[in-house]
Amino acid sequence: MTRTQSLARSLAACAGLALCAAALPAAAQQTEQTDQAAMQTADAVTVTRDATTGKLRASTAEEQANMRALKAKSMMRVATPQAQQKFHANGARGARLTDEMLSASAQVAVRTPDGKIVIAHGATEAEAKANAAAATHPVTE
Amino acid sequence: MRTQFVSRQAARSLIAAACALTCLGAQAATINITSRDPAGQGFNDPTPVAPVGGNTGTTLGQQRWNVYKYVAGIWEQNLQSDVTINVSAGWEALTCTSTSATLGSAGAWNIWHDFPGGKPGTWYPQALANKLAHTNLSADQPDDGTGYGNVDIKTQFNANLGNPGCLDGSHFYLGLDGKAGSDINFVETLLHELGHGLGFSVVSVNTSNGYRINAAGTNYVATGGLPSVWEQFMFDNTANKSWLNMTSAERKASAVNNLQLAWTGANAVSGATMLKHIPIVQTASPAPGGNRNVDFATASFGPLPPSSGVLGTLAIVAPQTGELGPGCDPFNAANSAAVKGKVAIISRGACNFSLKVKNAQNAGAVAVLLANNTTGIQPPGGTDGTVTIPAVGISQADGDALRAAVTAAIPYGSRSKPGAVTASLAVDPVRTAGADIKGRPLLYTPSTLAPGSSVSHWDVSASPNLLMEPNINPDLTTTLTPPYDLTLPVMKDIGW
Repeated sequence: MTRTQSLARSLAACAGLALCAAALPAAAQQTEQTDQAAMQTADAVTVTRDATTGKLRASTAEEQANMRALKAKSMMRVATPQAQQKFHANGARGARLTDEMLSASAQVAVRTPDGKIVIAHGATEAEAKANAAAATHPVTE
Repeated sequence: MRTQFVSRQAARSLIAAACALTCLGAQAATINITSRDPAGQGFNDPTPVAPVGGNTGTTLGQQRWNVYKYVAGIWEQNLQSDVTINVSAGWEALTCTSTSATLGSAGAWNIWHDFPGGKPGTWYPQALANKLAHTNLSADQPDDGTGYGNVDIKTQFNANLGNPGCLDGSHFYLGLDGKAGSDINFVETLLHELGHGLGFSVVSVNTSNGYRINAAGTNYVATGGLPSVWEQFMFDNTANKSWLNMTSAERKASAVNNLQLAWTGANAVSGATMLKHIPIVQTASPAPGGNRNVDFATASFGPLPPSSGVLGTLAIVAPQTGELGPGCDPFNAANSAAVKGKVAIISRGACNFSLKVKNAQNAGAVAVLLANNTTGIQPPGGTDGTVTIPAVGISQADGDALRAAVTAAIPYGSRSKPGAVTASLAVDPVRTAGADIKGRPLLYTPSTLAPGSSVSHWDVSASPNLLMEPNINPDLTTTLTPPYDLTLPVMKDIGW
């Protein structure tokens, strides 16, 4: 595999992961995270922009480890898979929600062709994007 | 007399206790923000920046933190609680393209029901539940392993906004003075988002199917779920029913019942007198039945119509031989003569709104009423920088009635000066922008569901603009009370 092929493969994998993460419901994401981790391990070709030359180059082992750690931390922060039940001694019942269950949560900004910024909400990023897309495509006829 | 003494003593004790409770209830809220960001990132970003708009931070991280503290301070001044409100905050590499970006998200991270002080069988966001219960309900709960599983509100915003590949050039404005220019005002964005986390949200209803979260808090369910405190004040004017009494199917339908879902909380209804009266087109005709009040929506192109005064004399555009559709072709001599110096009435269909208006403009019209070809009023969208006359969308029924009025008025004049219908701009004496006929503010229920956004915001028709509309408008202030805003009255309605 040439370096160009490796880079293209990595970029394609990254794009695929991003789309999957946006589209999957929380329960499915938990399973998908395991699959994604396996994919990344199997296709562990990553690139880094060299701080000195400014050009992309193959990542060192240490850089790869850092990226994996950051990715794991990021995923832990943004995707909490299941609601957690809570019980209080005073009889109250509660739940820790998930990102998927947050109402009116995500905000997306889209620049329209005339340069305006349209901001829309959604319970997930995917929904917010759909709402923004609808807002940026007004009925013109 | 001793009995009397005891009674007095008891009365004093009761008064003291009541005072203590009142004082407890009146304690200003404290908001504690905890960063999730690692060293060198987010709030810890060491990138040097110049102080801006009253934000004295000299690094990007400091300025971000300063905005959080500033916005938290606004909420602290407006809310009362004797339980600290905990917010987990982070800056992350959220998804972006060059022309779009996820700005961030926030919401109540924990919800509770059946706690002391709350309405039984009702979901509340944790910050409000804690206030009402006078205790941190999550205080003794084991963390879920994230380190922030027990917080009241979880927020995350895009660390890369404005950088190449991430809504290029449009950064969060971190000044505190509201002068965001073309950037995105982070103060207003965060003020809005924390509002959701504090309770301005339906929280526990999935609006795409009307399901509620079950009592266990584990799933949305078709039947048997618990209502949220938000639902107490949602009333559908078409169904004539509160969300509390609806089935899931009815809630689903109500969430897309445009301009028909009212908020009934007494504080917000009282505050809604701040909303401006709805602008209308008012027609005057010498013929019976020609005086009408017509609702309209302004076009996204061309100048805005004047707020008052005469718009002009109405004119009908007749069908032209071989035309693509109403007003879609350059006007022939007859239509040009009919609309010159007048307000043309043109039906929707077959070509762009802007083309119809441009053709009318070229024929000498001074304004255009674009009548819908289906139910409702369609705001005419589009762009055309060469359009210099105002255009508005009106309903199909009003379009038909105005055409009939124009024809009916003709005999009421002379041969040299036929009778005519004059259109003026006025305001509806009863209805206000963003409220129903009873003056109750309307929730956002576009006919196409905006998941996560519908029913958890004010309708976009509100005027003046409100903080909790779906869009962050540039004319917002940081005042949460009437006559500037309705956010705090709603918070009081739900129990704050």
